[in-house]
Amino acid sequence: MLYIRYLITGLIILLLSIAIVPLMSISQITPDLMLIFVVYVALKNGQIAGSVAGFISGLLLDYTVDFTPGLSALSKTICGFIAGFFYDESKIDVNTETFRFPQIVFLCSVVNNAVYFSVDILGREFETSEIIKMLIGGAIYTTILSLVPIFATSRRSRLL
Amino acid sequence: MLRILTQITGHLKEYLILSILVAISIVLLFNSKSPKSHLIGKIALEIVGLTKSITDVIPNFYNLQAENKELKKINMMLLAQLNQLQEEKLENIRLRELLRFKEKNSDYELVSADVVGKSLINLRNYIILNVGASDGVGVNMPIVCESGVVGKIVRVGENYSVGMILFHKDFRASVKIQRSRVDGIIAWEGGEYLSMLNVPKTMDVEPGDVVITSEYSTIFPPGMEIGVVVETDNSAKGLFKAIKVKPSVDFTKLEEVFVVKYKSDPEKEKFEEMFYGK
Repeated sequence: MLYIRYLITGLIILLLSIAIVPLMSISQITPDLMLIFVVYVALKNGQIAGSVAGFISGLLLDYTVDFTPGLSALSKTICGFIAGFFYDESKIDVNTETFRFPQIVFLCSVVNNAVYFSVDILGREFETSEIIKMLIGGAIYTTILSLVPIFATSRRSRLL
Repeated sequence: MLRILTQITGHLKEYLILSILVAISIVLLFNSKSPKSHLIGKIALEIVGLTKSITDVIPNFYNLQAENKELKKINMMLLAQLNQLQEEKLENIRLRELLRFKEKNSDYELVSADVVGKSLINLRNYIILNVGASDGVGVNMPIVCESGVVGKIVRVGENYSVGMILFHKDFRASVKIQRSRVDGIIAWEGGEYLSMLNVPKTMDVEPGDVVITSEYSTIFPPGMEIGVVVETDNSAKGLFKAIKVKPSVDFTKLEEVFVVKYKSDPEKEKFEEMFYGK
């Protein structure tokens, strides 16, 4: 049941990534909503779930957003795996509902971008500022958006 | 080392899955042109295309702002180009008129010049021309344009010269009414019109008469247009009419002129100076 919920959430995020995310671009930098989801799954369910979620969501993105099969799958799998290192059964709430979450998202986002853009960076000559923009710019944007679920969950818990 | 190995073997399942998934990803990455991959890609593209066509109506505000900025920039550039083209068109018209004027006045050697500076609000008004002694320009040479007389050269530098225009309180020139051949002296006493002096009240001068330079002028070749009579007044004190002349040249729009290489007899000039205090 839980995994079906994840699947539906993943599909909704995929739809948002196709339709809404391009409209949110600032200087060609877009947030990675799917990465937030992968990190969340990894922190909630561990390294294997994170890796699998990363692979499937990456593959979906590859076929619908990037049109380069394997690239997002690779970067997201690694991200899910790294996020899984922070998985601790006793600290799930701390990891997903406090400011630890955006910190992990930021780290994973930088790794994700590094893997994702490594082909471009190695293949062509880029200026340092451009590389920083590619690696850090998107990571910051994604981290900012990762604050939304924290506020949402804290408000919900307050309401409950 | 042993600790790391124990840690890895403890999480062997995780590392194994990671390796498998990474391997699949790499295979996909390097094998993206396979027919199966192509088919999935095609289906995915259809789905994306459909989604995009539905959501394309939502604008990206950041992009709109950037696009707006870019359009404004292009608009500014096009306006500047348009202004430049209009300037060039007007310049072309002016130069054509000047050329026609030059052809008409082929008896005199003309030096074309641009007005690079002018004053029109003082009692002593001048224009500065971008021609000087190196172009053969000398003091007292007439300055004309296609509309008529502009003034005369009063100071000459190597590459620039200063011209006294009709609207200068010390400017004087012998003129005559084209129709009735009545002689007089043109001068400026302030205001927007010139004055034709020394014309007796009995002489035939009417509004609309064209005023031209006369043969008596020591500076200007005869027959060049000065302006048109706009008002005559016989009620003025003394023997002479008060005649107001509107200059043919619009000094506010003056941009290109000709300096006429015309020198009259110096003796005649001296004689006129003695009489009119020029």
